[in-house]
Amino acid sequence: MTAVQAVLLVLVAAAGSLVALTRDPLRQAMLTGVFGISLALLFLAFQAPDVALSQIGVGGVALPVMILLALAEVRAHERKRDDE
Amino acid sequence: MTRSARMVVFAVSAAGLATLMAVAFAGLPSFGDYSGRYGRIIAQIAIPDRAATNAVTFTAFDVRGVDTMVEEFIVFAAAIAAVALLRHLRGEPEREARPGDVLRPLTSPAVRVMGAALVGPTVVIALNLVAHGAITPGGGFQGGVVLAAGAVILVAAGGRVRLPPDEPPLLAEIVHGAGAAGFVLLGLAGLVFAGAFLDTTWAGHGTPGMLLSAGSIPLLNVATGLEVSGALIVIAAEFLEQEMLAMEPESS
Repeated sequence: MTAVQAVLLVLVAAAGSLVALTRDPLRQAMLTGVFGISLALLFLAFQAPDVALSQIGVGGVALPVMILLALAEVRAHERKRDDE
Repeated sequence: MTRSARMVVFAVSAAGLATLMAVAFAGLPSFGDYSGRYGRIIAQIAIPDRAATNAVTFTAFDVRGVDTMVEEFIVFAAAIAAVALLRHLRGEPEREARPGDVLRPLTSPAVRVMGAALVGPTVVIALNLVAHGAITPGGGFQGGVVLAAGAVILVAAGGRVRLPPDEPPLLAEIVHGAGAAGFVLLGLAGLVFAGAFLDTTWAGHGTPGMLLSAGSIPLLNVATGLEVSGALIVIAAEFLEQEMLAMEPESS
């Protein structure tokens, strides 16, 4: 195992723990993106560029965006209910 | 159960789990060890048999093409489900736009400039990934997701996707349907011209490393790219229609 791989393994573990320990959903959504990108770097370091590209797309972009959109949706519903 | 009793149960379980994990890790093959036969066969036949220099794409679209087709239909079904679940919730607009209304963008000029600067390169990277899927890392799925990310940048930077109440289909809906259908049709072409569903050899061999090589794998990549980008844009647009389009008409 090279030093880069070891460092990235630790980074992924740290980022994953941060996501799990964050309580605010908005912050959690942003950290999910950071976690996704660090996982992509890990895949690249382990010579899996195809998987890394998928991970950048899914973990770095699609998943955080979906969570953000769902959060916006929930908040809109709450606002609407409060208005009534 | 009291807190201390719970802690005891946790401590016992955690110790048991740690022991089992230690035993399991001790029995693992050494780091980087590969004893599978499948991978070696793939590496041997990817270029001589299929002219596909990217063995991963060759595996995804040829060796296990049916799996990939089913995965693609998972994305397809997800988009349909998002439409089915969210569209009936679509509310009436707060009020009709009147002449003299001006649309006030919600984003700052800095965000809009960044968005405009990023969309072009993102789309180029996406097309590059789709086109060279059989040659270099990338492919239809990755390119499709990046293409959809380009659309998300556009919206986040202040573009609009107001879906009219009478709901003509989005272009993305047609695109994702065409991509899913295209994949199946390319599979059937394999059945007709080469004798097996999703056989990719019927479209010719080509020189390994050239843009048009590896049989029908590049075409399958294009179909997948259309499907994935269309589906993700449909899902995002359905969510966006619900809320983020806070760009309601403002009276001037």
